[in-house]
Amino acid sequence: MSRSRHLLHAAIISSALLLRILVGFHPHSGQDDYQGPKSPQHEHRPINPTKYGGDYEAQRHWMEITYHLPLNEWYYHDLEYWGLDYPPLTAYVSWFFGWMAHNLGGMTLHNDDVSFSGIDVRDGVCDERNSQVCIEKMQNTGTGTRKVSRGIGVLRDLVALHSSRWGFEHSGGKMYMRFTVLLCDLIIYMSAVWVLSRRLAASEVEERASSNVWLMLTALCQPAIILIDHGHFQYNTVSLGLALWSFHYVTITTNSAKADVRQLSSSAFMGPIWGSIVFSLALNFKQMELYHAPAVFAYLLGRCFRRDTKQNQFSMWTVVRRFTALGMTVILTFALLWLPFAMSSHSLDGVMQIIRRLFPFHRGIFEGKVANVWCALSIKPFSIRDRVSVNVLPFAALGLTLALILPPCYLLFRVGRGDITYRDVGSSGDGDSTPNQLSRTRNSEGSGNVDLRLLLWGTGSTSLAFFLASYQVHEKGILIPLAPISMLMVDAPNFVFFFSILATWSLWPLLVIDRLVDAYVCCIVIFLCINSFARVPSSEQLTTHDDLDIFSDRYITRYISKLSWVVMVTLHLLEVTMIPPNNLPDLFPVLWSFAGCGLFCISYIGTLHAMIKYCNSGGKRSESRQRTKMKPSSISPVSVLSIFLLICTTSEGFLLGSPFRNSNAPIICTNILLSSGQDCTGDIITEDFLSRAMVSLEWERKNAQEALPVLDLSTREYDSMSTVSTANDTDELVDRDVDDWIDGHIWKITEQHLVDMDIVAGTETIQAMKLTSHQMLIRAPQLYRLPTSQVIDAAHFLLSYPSGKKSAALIEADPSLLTYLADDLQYGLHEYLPNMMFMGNDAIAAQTIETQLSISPSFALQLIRMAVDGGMEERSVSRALGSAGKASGKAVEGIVGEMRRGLREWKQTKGGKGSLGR
Amino acid sequence: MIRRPTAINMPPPTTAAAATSPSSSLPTLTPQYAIITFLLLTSVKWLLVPTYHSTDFDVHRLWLAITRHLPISEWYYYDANGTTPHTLDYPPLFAFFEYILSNNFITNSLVTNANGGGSASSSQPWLDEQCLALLPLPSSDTTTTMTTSVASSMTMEFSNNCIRFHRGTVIISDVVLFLGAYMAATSVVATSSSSSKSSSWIAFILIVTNPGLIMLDHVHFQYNGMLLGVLLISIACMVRGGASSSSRASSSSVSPLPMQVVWELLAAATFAALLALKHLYLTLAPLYFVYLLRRHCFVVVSNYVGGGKNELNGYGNEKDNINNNRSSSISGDKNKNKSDDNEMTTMVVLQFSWRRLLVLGMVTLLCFLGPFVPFLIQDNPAGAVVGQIQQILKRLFPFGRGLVHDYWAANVWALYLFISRLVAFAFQKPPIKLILPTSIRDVLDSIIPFPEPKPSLVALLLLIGLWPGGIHLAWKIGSRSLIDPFCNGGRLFIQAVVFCSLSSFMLGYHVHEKAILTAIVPMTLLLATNSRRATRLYIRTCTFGLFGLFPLLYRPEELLLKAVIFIAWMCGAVYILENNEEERQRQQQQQQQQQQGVHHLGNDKNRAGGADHGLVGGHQNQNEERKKRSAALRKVDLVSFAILGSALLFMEIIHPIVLMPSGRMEFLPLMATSVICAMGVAWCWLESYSQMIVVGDVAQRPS
Repeated sequence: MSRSRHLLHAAIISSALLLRILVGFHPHSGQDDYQGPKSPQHEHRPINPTKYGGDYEAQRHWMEITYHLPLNEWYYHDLEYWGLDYPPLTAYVSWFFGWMAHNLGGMTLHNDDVSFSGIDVRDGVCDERNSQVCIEKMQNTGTGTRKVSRGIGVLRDLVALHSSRWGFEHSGGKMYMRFTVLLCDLIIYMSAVWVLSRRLAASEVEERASSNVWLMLTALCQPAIILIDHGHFQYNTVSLGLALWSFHYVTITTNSAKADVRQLSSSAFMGPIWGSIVFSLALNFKQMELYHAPAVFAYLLGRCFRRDTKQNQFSMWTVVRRFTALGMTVILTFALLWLPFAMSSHSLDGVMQIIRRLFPFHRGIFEGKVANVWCALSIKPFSIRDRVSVNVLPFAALGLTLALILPPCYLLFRVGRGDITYRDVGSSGDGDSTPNQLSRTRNSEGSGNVDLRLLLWGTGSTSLAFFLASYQVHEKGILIPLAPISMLMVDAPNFVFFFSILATWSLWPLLVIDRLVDAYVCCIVIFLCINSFARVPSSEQLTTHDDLDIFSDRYITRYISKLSWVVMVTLHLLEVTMIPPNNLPDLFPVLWSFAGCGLFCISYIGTLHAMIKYCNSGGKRSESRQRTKMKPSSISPVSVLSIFLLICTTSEGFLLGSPFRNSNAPIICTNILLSSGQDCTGDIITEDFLSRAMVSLEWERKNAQEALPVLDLSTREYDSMSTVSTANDTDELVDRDVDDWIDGHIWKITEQHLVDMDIVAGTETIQAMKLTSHQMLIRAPQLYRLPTSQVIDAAHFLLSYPSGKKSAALIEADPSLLTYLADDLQYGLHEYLPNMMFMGNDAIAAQTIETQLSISPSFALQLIRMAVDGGMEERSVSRALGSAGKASGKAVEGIVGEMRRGLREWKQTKGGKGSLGR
Repeated sequence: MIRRPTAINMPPPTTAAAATSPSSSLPTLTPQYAIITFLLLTSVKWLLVPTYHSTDFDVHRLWLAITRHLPISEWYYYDANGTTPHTLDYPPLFAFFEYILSNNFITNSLVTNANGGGSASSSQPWLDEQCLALLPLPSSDTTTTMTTSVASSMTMEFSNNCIRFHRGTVIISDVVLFLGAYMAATSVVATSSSSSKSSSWIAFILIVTNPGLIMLDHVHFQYNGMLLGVLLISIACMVRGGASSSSRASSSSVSPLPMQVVWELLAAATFAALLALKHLYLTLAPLYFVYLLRRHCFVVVSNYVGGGKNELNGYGNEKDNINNNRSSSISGDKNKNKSDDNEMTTMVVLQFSWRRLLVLGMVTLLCFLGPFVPFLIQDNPAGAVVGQIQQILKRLFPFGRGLVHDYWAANVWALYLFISRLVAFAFQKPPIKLILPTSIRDVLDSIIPFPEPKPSLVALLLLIGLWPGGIHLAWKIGSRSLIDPFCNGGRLFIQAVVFCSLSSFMLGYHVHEKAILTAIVPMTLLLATNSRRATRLYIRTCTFGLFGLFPLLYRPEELLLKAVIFIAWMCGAVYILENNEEERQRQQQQQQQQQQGVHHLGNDKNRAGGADHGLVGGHQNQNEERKKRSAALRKVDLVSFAILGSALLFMEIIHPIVLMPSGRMEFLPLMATSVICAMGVAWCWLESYSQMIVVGDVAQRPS
């Protein structure tokens, strides 16, 4: 019996390994320095001049520097090129793998001195300057005459100092790197899942045998974890696995029956001590494990207050002793890991440097398009980043996070203290426990298992809270709640299933960049199939405690999950079929983060709901109330539908995203558009663009309005405000000379001048941080038709504006500034703005703009816009007044009175928004 | 054996249909599960797209190009000089299959469509034209050795979409495999009284997840899944045909048996089509021929019941078609009757029917020769030396490639060559050579190294190897299944198929290592009969046969893949089989308990089951013994796993690191693999033979 069980577990684990290996054949992040499909609907990503590749290169680089450099340089060495920014344990692990690679690579050297290895010896060191040459050399040596696949010596090159940079992507090296992840995954994560699944669905009880299987399969085949670790390339499973192990240890409790034997409460408290050691290790592998920390802390705090045995008197002394023991353990573990760094630098600077590297607060509140609250709130209608000051945001994030983690932490504290009754249903429902049964269930379903379940829910909940609300969150942070939640398949299958798919789905924009579209679809389909199998009628023992599952059939909320399927699939379909409009190139990532945020919020509520239900039922879960039968139709039509839709999507997605796409695809054409010559011009100069270019600017409208007679006394019947001419008139103005610019010759000249002025990127040198003319046109289409001299004047002014130095910062920030008249710009920035806000001090105004420009470009731009628009308004009013004064004397008084009234009314209407509003 | 008390108290199943207990962990096979499995495996296969692909990829790509661009008449003449090893050398139906792949609507639209990619600006088709172009191939003098395959795969780079397209065709054509596995598994279970419903699921899942097929088709690149699917369909039809006679009423023998006839004709037709797809299945042809000749072309004319009472009845019927009849008679027991009732003994007269032979022959020839017709009516292309048919035959049977492949398939010839090398090596060592007298030394000089056998000799040996299973047994089971309603002809037929494929693998000329799948896949169907011996044999054959496929994926990148896929599948398969066995025994025990408790009525059923799968129904054994016997793995299997594991360790890790740099013993890993596997497969072959003998005895002797 047990042998076949072991066989089954071996089969499951090796199948999970197989899936990881299969995903490993697909590209890793930044392979060939690919940074995402270069199509108009995606943000333009310039090729990074300071770094190569992505996370893969980072990890490889860390192996290189940790192996070759002394410890005190690890966190200082060449921070521009993937400086180490994970805690010490990561560095130690990197060192170990670097050491292993170096020595494995050296194994062939002694009898084969002409092996592939040793580029750095023969060809010299390649650094940033001749990196291109170096890469070519490597490729030549790599794929040329030698049989590459044989040489294990390549591993030495993989971690060679400096020479391995800039794209050492030998297949042998990739194999080794993938293997290291696989090894960590197997040793740490899979073993943790195995142990936990034995506790959560005890395999001794035959009823639960199959649920154990499905639990393991669900936890091990999580698409998101596999795709990030084995596709994108990271070592998340190490920290996640360590966290799961610590949850296991922390919740070990001695049974009350056993407590007679073990009198000492300290020995009963050994589990938490071990657990805290392991959790400290997890924290020291990745600082993002902090997401789990509050829950663990709350639970452990509760454990300090727990009365373990009836005999022992509960005293404050016990609490203090336990708390000190825990604290000391954590501090000692940390100290042990950080000591080498503190020692090596003669001061605490080594430690401080690590901390600085770990918490880069300067990076902004979120990175990329992450599906959390702040990102969702920064979309147009809310635009929280514009409304709330930059300095306030971290505190807002902190506050919201605290508010969100408080409920789960409180519940966990109660659980830890032992407020939840421990009459968990041990073995298939019968309450009275004979000694025999008790000893059997002690391992399988002790009181600790209630704790474990609740701790898993709690850590999932707090980490979701962090993901949603905290500062500087990365998309990959979703793995942290995913790991504990995926262990709860038995408790809430629908919810876990929903959350797993959702987490994977939210990673889609990242995976497109990594060219993992195929792997994404396949992993999701495999997961769906496993889930469908888990619901076959014969394994209906898979009990669902439907009151825990927020998406179970008992609740009306089940429609939410169904609805969300539709949303996810629809977004996928939309992305394939629709090209986002030119002014919204980021439409889909934004939609993704918005929808993702909403669904994650629901998931957070789901976890909270489960915890509350759990606690309310006092740990006595109604196990006997099984669902009568999961109908075969619950291989739900929706999921089948979504499978097919996903397949359809991706078959299209291949056409579009095309991970291995040849680089000569014509889409790129639009990117280096116009600058690369005439061929591509046709692509952007569409009808749509022309019509956008035709839209008249604000000042043009004003000028046209002023060109009309200010006062037409013959039309006294009209309301005075109607003298402001309508837009139709001005549009005709522009239309009149449409032939002049429609063929683009004006823009050609303008563009040439701009290139000469070093504002626009030239044809050959596509440099980073420099606008291409294409982008410029997208953002300010009117440039296409404006006369060259006018644009150049504006550009000259803007180039010199904030500090008088030559910098194109303003233009990069907002090319549409070029459409203004230089005169207007000058007046607005040098006269109006200082007068209005800086008491006439021009220098301070310029300085303010400059500093804001570096801190918050959007705010600076707003200031500038306000200044220029305000200046224009002011001057137009004054011009109007002046021309009115020149009018015939007979009507002067009436006119002036009318203008004043008009001005007043204008101020009343516009005043609400203030001159800040554009 | 730990069992929960509730399991014992369960109401025992009363009918055979209720044989699966509700607590069975394995589901029964329904189309729904088959579809989900298909989706699951398809995504696994799609994940395999970026892995290594061999020169077979180039071969099939070129064939697609040939069928896409050239007229039919030139298909087999492309590159007639033989500068490339990639020319079309499969039979015509496969050529038409490639034609369909390269000339359908989807392919055309992929190559030409301009709106692929969803962005209006993209005018590039999804599939580049080069992918299906007739490229000037790199001319390599030697045939497909490992080293040249590296060279050619490096010189010819195709776009990723091209690889996706070709992989996609393999994945899609695997639908046939799923269909065949589904049909075969269900029909084996439906016709066998002893197998439980979950057995069909087991057979199905083990066929479609076979790692050998996945490695060969979806990594190495071939279309074996489709071909084996056709074979499975044919077997399924045959099993259905074999079963439909056993359910007939024995009295109304003269009336045609429409279902049987239709099924068997279908089986013959699909097999003929299979031959036209890939001629390597020719070794199964004698089996099919003999079996169908006996089973299909002979009609039961009459039953003689009792000692000569009703003798004339049969002749009366026979007069209808007296011109072309020969008859033979075989006596057999009817199972259900008690042996002492002599007057109930049945005499069956079998009568040869020319009409049936004619129909069978016409159907078969139509399916087999049909695909050749388009070539016959074509003119020979300009400059052709030989006619179409000769050209095709020349392509199909390229003798002169040698007795064995570069990598020796794990068969008898590998052992032969290995011994030859060993003797030659030993003979060269001075002490041995000096000790021997000169006369012996001269003799040895002349025969060492051993001479390579001629193709005709190999063919003769092959015929001898095929004799016991393919011809002798086929005839016997053909007749037996006609007269004995409780003899399942289909199951015996599968046994014969397995043996014949093993024989042809062991003895064939220039056998490829992948031919072992022809034996393994039908062998999976035998699992559905719940025979313990079949289970063990299956696991052993898979162990050695699949291990023999490993050197096909020689790159270190695939090392983990092949090892893990093998381990995962082995663990899963052994678990499923053991679990199933336990389940079945538990049920048996319950059944026995119930029967002992109530009455002694169960004898009939036991006898029927015993006749079917050769098990000893028997007593109520002790649990221990039962458990030991039920174990699918024995000590010897564990030992062989250990041997294979260390062999893998040696050839993939130790050898490349330690020996390879110095260039010594480059041949060692391949030779070690094929010799070890050859011994293992030979063992399985003999065991299969012995099992077949038992089965044959069961077939011959009235039970």
